[in-house]
Amino acid sequence: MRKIFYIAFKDVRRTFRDIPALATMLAAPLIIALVLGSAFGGSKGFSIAPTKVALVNLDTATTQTAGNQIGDTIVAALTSAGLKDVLQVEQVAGEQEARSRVDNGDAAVAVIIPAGLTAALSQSQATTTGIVLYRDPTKTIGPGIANTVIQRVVAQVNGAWAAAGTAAQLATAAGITDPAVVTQLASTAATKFVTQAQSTPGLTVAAREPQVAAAEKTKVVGVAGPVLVGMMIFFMFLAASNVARSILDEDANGTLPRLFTTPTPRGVILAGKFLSVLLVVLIQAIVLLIAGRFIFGIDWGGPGPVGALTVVGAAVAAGFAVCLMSLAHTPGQAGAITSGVFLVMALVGGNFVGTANPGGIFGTVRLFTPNGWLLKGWDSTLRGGSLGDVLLPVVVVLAFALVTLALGVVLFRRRFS
Amino acid sequence: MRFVEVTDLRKQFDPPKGTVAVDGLSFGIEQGEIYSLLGPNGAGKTTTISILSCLLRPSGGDASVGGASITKQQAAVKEAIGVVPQEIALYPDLTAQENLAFWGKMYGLRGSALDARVEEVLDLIDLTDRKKDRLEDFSGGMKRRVNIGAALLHKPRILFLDEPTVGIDPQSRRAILDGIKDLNRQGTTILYTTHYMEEAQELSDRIAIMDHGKMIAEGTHEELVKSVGGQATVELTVDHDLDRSLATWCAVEGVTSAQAEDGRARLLVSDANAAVPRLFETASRDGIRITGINVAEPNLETVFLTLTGRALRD
Repeated sequence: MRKIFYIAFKDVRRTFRDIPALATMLAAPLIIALVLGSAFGGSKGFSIAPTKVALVNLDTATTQTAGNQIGDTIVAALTSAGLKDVLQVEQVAGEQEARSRVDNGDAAVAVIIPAGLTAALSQSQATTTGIVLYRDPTKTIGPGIANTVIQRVVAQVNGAWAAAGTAAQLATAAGITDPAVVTQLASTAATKFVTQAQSTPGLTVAAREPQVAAAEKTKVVGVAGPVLVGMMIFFMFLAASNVARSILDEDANGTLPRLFTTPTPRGVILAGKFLSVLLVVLIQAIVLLIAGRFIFGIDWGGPGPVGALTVVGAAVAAGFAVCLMSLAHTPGQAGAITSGVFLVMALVGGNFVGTANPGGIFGTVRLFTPNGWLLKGWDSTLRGGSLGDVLLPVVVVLAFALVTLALGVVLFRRRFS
Repeated sequence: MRFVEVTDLRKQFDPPKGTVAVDGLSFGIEQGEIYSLLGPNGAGKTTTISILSCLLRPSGGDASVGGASITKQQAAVKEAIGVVPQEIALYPDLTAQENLAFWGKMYGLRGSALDARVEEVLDLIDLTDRKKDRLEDFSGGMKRRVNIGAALLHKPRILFLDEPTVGIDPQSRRAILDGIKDLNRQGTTILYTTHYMEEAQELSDRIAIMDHGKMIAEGTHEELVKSVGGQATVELTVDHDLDRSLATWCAVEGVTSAQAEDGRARLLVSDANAAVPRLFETASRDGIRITGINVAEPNLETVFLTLTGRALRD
């Protein structure tokens, strides 16, 4: 029994001395996750980098409009705390500077509040004065958010302006001719419109969504976690094939036949080789999980489901690798077979789209691979799922592992009998 | 009973039409002797070693090592033997010490006993100062020494060495041959395969000459040489028509065979002292100009040539 571990540890030691193999096993999945995670802004929720906004407010107060500048309202709305994660607003001195910021790529959009905006609107006359959005044509999301915020403010302003205008007309029609009184009535109507719109919105739109499992609603899953899971599973299969191929390498270079001349049963020798595959892949997974936690801040989930998925993931990678190696006759042949098979499994299983369930036929087809079931399990775990939530994926993947390992064992024993 | 007894051993790959690598081989090895299997490449030497090592199952016949049958008591056979394969069957990315420790574990050694034995073997193969270096940094000769060392860890009763000096420098070869003699002096029985006549001649108590899977002669060096009449080999280089020269010399008294090899005439003669003057006389008479001559006393090469009509290195 000890000899199984001696053989396994010898192979594990050799694997971790192989720098190119380490690069493939550990560095490659981390680098890919880093690149994709950085592109989508980190791990805490799907987010984009804040859009830089160059804001110039030329709507200065007059004696008539002091204290009620629409420009100030728009500035307040754009710089509110709720938008600080999506808009990074910087007020600049003039229109030219704002436009230059966009031209130079220092801002995605310039918001230019023209001079005399409030005065023009307070004259209760139709006006073509408008707020200008000077935007970078290559960017859509940030300028779109800025536009939406401004449109809300503009809608309120237009509503208040309409209420003021209507109040003034009604006052005039009622025989009130004192301009100060008319203005006061118009102003009150406008203020009341804004206040009422905020407190009792009237006709509203309610958002509803389908019922989903509680686990899927408890955590917001970022980008890095699903990406790293997909890459981790893919590279686990590749690492397993690399270690399993050592069976064929040793047969070719004579160390395996030499082992067979020692008083060590052939079953023990093969068991040691199989165990080495499992151990290497398990170590790989643990390192990647730890790296994901500390480099990307990924919260993988509870220890139960994480542990179970890690172990069965390693087992199925080892099982498939051993099985495919048993079908090959040379190391070169083995490399070609495993590369092709594992790439197809990764594509079909969805490794390259992370843990998100694509739905449709693709969502069904991927469950013909252990990759698809592992991704399903990890998706649940990332969202806070318990061991019970991942039980089905764990059992299915374990079944894949046992069947493939058993087949590989039978074929190898026959070959080396 | 002899320590190794081989009875009518046979091995055919891919029967029924495949190659018969070993064809009815029978021999015995006494405890404590050095026994060599001498033959050209493809003679069946490695296959014989593989069968006795329990790596291959024989197609027919049987053998025993230390009283244990290779077909029925493989575990006992493997405990008794140490095998030095022809290729360097070691792990290049492990150090010499790590390699030896691993192989020692495969033979059941553990703990301090293993550590001590590894140090002992490293000293035996004169690589103590390089024990922490990886095998991939070693020369061919050094690798061969570790290859041998790995088979000695469990102090086998018999050591199988399959052409251990192939491809190494003369100095390393000398060291290996001296090491084998030392081991034998300490009581280890040796089964040695080679296609180098000089090695078989220097090392062996008894030699079996193999060709095409069969044993064609067996005995001590003296017995084998005597068995073919103790013939000497005369090699002559001519600047003339070699075939005509051979035809001329075949008829000379005392010449038992004549053939061309590597552009030279190679003759077997019963008495070199008497035959050489006759050869020169005949050459002079027939206008054959001899440009070089080499006379070798009867040796295993001669024996092989006599028995098979081919040189050992063909």
